[in-house]
Amino acid sequence: MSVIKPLVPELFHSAFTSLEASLIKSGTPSDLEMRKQALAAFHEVGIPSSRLEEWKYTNLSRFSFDSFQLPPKNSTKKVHLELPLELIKADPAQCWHFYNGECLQRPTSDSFIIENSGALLAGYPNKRENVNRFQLLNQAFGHEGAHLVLPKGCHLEEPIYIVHLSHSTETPLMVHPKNTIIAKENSRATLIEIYLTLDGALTFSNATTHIQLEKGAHISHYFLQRSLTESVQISDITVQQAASSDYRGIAMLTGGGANRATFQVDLNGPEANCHFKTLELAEKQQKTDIFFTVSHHQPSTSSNILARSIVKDSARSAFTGKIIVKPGAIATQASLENKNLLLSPTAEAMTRPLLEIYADDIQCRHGATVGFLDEEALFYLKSRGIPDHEARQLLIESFISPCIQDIPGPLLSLVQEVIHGY
Amino acid sequence: MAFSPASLLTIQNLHAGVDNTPILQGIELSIGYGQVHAIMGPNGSGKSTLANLLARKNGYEVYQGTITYLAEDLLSFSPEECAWKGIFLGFQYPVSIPGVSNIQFLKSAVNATRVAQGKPPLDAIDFLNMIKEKTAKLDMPSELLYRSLNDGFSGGEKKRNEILQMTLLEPKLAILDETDSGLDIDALKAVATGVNNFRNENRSIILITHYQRLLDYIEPDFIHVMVNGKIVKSGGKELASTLEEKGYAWL
Repeated sequence: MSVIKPLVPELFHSAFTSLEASLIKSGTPSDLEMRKQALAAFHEVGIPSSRLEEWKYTNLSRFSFDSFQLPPKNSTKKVHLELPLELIKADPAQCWHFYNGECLQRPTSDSFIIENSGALLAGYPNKRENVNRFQLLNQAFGHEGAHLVLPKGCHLEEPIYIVHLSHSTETPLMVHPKNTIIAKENSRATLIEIYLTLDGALTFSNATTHIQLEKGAHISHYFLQRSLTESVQISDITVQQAASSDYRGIAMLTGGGANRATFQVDLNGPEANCHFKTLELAEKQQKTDIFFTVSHHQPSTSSNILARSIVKDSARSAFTGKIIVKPGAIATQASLENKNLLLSPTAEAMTRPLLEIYADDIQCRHGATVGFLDEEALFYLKSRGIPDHEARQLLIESFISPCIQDIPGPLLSLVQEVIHGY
Repeated sequence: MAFSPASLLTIQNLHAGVDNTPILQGIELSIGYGQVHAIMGPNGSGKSTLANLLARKNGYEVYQGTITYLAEDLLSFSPEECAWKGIFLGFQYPVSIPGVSNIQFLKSAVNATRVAQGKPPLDAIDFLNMIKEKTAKLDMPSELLYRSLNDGFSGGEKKRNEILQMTLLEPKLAILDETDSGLDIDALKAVATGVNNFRNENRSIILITHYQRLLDYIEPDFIHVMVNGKIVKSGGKELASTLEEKGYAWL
């Protein structure tokens, strides 16, 4: 019996057909079967609706996903990009630079190992329970990305940069970057990951990053997802931590029609720590959404999540923090704090601090606040001659100071540039 | 030469309050150049309302009367304009702002005020030299400059910081709201010394206080007693000892 094709082609059908053709043409169809399966699995579930708890605050129904096409190959003439590489002064020897999914620059440093794919992950435990449907789409369409291994005991002083720029000029494009970082035993490094959608037509960026920390590894991760259009930017970050490993950093989301980051951190070994901060900045009609889950699987693990958002005009931010303490994960320490600052009466901030605790003898605390600028503080500053706009800026700086105090200098200037518009 | 009115500040028949509740009920007060006026009175008499109103804090309603400052209608000023025109309010409870360093705040305040007054802003070096000299005079450890504004400051440190701001901004009229509250004797002396050094024939001061104690260190030219939103008694510095003896009840 022949396969009956559906009357209405399924989502991304034409994009996948052209991908299939180009893979066969280039003679690399080895993973085609895996891609087909991933797409089929995605079709089972589809684009998440906002009726799902996990996607409640990212409404994707208003985007026409079928209009997004994969970027044509080798379309990248020498693109002139003043942003953000110049600003952040990344050392080219430690920098990946992608433009519409295509690698323009690869690091030349020999202090870590560059791989061609994330295949090395196969040997590692992954306790992540839920697979995000956008991960499936990323498996189906995924293309180039940064894959690296930090050798055992290596201590990198200079940060590693992974910079993804996307830019649709006429056709709405979609990109599906994949990144893999394996930090071997007792290695230490700082990772700066930037997703930037430049001004132009709508873009759909769907990235996945997997960070595997072996015993005693330390990773500082600075993640920035910024859109200069009303685009869809979705990132999914999986972090798997072995005993005594340390994962810390900050995720900052700003701009975009749907700007979403999902973090899943699994503390799989005793004394693994996760200390993470998030910052969302949304104005006009923008929507930002962070869903951050930490699962404590083993005893004496700790997590500390500090989330802030600043919302202006008719924008909306959302933060969901979920701490799961598995049975037996005794002596766990976890804290979750979310503060939201509204700069206009029509701005919205959604906050959901969630705890799921299945173990005894633990310490967990959580809290959330939503409010406006403190009038008394504003009066105090103005009474010293500081003009209204500058006084508000100082109070905004004060509000986010716990989040940004550890950001490395060059990246901080990029972040401050965004903040100054608020 | 610019026109110079007879007094710096004139308040006439001022009725004001919050949420349709009158607090000030017919204040009459005139402050001359270089004069120090103390306003005393029991809790709830409206002293802080008057201070806040003079610095144009939001949320107060004026029902009647006028406030004239250097021949201008003070009630038309914004809070920052008050500062630029030389009015300074020393807060009873200075606000803490974590994450904003004291020195960053002081520099913003000084330079915004200078620019508004048509003077060039100070560069980092000139500002630092000026502030070092002023902190030393107030016996203030310079470490306080690099901490977050008023964050974790003791009561004495906060009030010294208020006086530091006053000396940096060089106002024509300083209103010090309960500057003595919560101070131990050493801090009180340091604050009083700061105020006395600041005092000269071109600078006027309104001291708002509960207690006569502060007046032992800063000698006022006039004392006014405020009860139920009115000034019920005015006199010279000798009035303080009468009040100390008899309290406010006899008025």
